[in-house]
Amino acid sequence: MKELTLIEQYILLSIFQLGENAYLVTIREHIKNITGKDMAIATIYVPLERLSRLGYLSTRMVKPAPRVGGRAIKYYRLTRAGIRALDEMKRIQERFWIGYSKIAASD
Amino acid sequence: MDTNHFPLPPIERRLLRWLLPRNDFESLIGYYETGYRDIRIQRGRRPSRRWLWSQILKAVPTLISMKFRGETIMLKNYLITALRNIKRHKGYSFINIAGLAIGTSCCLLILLWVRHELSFDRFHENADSIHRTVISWPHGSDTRWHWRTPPPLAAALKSDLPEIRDTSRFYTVEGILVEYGETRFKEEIGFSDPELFSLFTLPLRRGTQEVVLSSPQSLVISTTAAQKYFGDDDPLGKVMVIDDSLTFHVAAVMEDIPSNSMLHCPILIPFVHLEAVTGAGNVQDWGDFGYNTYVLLEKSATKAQVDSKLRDYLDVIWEDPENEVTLSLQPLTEIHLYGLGGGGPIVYIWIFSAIAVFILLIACINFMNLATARSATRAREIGLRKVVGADRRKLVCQFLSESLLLSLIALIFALTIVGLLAIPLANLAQVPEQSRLFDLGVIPLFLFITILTGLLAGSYPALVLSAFRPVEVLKGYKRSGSPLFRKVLVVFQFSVSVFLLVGLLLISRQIDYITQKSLGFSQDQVVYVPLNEELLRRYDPFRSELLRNLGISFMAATSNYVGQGPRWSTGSVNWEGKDPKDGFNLSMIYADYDFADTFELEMAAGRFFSRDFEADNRNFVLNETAVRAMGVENPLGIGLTFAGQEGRLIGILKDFNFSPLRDDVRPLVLVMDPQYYRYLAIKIGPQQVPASLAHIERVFKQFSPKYPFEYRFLDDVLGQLYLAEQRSQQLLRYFVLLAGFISCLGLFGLASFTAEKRTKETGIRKVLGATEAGIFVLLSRNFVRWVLVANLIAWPLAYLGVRWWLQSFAYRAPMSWVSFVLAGLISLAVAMLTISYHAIRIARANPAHILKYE
Repeated sequence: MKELTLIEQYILLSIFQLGENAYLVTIREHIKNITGKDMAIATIYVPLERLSRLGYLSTRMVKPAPRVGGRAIKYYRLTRAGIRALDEMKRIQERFWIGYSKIAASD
Repeated sequence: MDTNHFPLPPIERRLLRWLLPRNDFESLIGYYETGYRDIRIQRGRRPSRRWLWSQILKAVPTLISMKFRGETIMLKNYLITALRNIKRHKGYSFINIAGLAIGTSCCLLILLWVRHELSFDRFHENADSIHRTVISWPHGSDTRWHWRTPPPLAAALKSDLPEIRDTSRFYTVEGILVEYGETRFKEEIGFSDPELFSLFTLPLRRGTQEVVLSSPQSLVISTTAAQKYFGDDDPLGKVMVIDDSLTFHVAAVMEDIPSNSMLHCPILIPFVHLEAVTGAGNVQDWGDFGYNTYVLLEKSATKAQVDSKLRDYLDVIWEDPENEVTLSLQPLTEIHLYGLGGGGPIVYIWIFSAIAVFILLIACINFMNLATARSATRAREIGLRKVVGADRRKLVCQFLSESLLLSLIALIFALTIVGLLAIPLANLAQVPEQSRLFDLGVIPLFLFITILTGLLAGSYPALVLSAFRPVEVLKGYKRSGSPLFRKVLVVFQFSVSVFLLVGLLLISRQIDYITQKSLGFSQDQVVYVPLNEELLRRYDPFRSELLRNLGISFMAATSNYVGQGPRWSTGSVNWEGKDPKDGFNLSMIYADYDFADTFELEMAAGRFFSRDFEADNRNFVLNETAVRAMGVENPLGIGLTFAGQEGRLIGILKDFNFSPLRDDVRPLVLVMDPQYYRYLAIKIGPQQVPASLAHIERVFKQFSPKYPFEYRFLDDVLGQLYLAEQRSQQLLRYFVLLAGFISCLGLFGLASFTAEKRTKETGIRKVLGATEAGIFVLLSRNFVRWVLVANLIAWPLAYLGVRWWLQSFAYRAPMSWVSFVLAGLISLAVAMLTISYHAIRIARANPAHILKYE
């Protein structure tokens, strides 16, 4: 498995949580809601594209709504490989977190 | 249409179109549009725009690296290749970098100087709306200009013309005694109206704008001057005595006026005191053209509008429709750069900017020539790059990035050179020390020049090298750009060098000529001592006391440094039979009895002022030119009315050059009038200079204890008349050296290349019986031919250029062919020296070694 940066991890998890409604704007909103970080559109776009190239995401373009100024929207979805990557990530992270709450409680 | 439709602003939209990846542009731009529109509706235009820019700026690094992912990898490769090439061919790299570094540093130094010259008086907030009133009048076929106007003009203009918002008069007098307690200095005092502070941007450190110069007994002092007089005490309210009798209190302290301003002076007092201080100049006199008048135009008014109203303004004032003196405006920012009616420092700015460009071009040509001549060494690399898929555009990019790298390396050296030379050169160009040559504003300019140089130098090699056909070069078939074009470039380089050299030689001749030409009066051993009212009050005893020294033979009170040009001139002269339309204008020198003897002037007719004739203090002496211009037969003894005063013409002086040699001898009148005497000119014997000076000082102290004793020798004063020309001669000398040096560097490189290329040929020739001399001639023949052609091109251009420059002089040294031939010989000799190293090396080499070599 390729190493994923933190922002890539956030993006994968956001797409998982958003389900059918995952595209750039909603992903950005989601990350902002959880972390409080307001990231630039293009800052999200670049890792999104990398994840697609790695095969973790599939994309589909939706034709623009029939009104002036409407644009096509690019939706993202987790692929099987993407889900496997999330599993792996979770497994690794959980092992790192073992015992943490006990220490926190004893303090 | 959707009422909530807000498209992206066009600039941002274009920027995004360029930045965003093409394949997803549609959807991405949609997100920006949505975000922009939402914020626009909720919070308005400004926040939405700010949001858009923060979006773009935050993502710029990401976007750029995404856009150029492929290119950055190749760029890295280009840089590595370039650095390896620089390392492998150290000699050529040295020639290229040294040439570019010297060329760039020249260019940067000149740029700094030009920037300083152009910055004069631009720092005022109203700089573009401020003008100075000037007058002009027809004089024969051309127009004469003057920048001084009568004192009542300022107030009259302000009330008469609605376009003029404010006006202020300004005048400075040097050498006025200023006292504060026991502290005494002679200062340059500025006389101005309070409005000066609303016209110009002169920030106050203490005191307020309202009180400045508004009370007649208030003064404004600069920060530095305040420090000088009061130390750390609070200057406000302190009482100072100016010109021995007038008392003022300090109303405000202003920041020092920057040196790049026309208003440079440490103390300002109200204009009304001018009459009391100078003893001359009636503040209400419409005929006294002596003072600067600055006007501030309304924002809506233009110079042309006001000029048209001013054209007949003086006719109305003087009630004289025949009057030919015209009033007009000169923009503040042009005062320093342009002389009235042409000329001025702008000429030198243009000359030196052109030289800077040419020197940089010479350096670029070195790079072009060497890169194309030696292209064979790169041929394989280019062929291979093409074979593995580089297209021509990529190769052009490669070579341009290579030349950019070189010019950047050169910039580092150039900056070092600039750092070392900026101070001495600033002194040479008379840039005051406190003005800042460097500031952050020059960095983009420096970078711009560097990039331009890199692109220019790299353009031709990039085109030539990228055109190689892989099949040919990989097979070993060599081609190296057009040799003809290379010849043209070398000839151009040498033409520029020869042009500068001829220019330098001719300019030096002219400067020798004007500094050595006999001026028609004696300037040796004449000491000028400034007069003051203490001395003028007791002038006769002072004079006889001075004369007791045996070394002192003659002395004369006068208004001028003779030879420096007239201080005064007048058009109000009348004689019997004068054509009233005649625009006769006389320069004036005020002088007393022994003036002619002091300066060893010769009379053409009549006599000079004499103590034996009581009436002489109303009589006049003219020079020959004036008599000729009047056109009167038997002029001696005719009556002249002069500024309302009547007198007789008692003598005619032979012409002498009382002005710098840029001007012809003009009509001149000598008048006796103690009011205008400013100096005492004393002729001292050659043997007793120190003793006589000591005597003068002692007598001066005795008669005028208050004033510090000062003196100047006339020949020192006159030695500074041609400073501008002498400075440019000196600068030109450096530039000729540099241009020649860079050209020779290039020639050296080319010679070594030719020698290398013809190594085998010369070897065979020697085996077949050619002599060393014969081979030397063979190798250097072409270069000699180029230099000769360059000379033929440069000579006529230099002739025209110098002739144009000489037009600013009334007296010109003849342009002799010697200078041209000398320049030709020098250029040829230097070129031969340069190439002879390689030519001799090859000519003397053992053919056996040479032929084995390949």
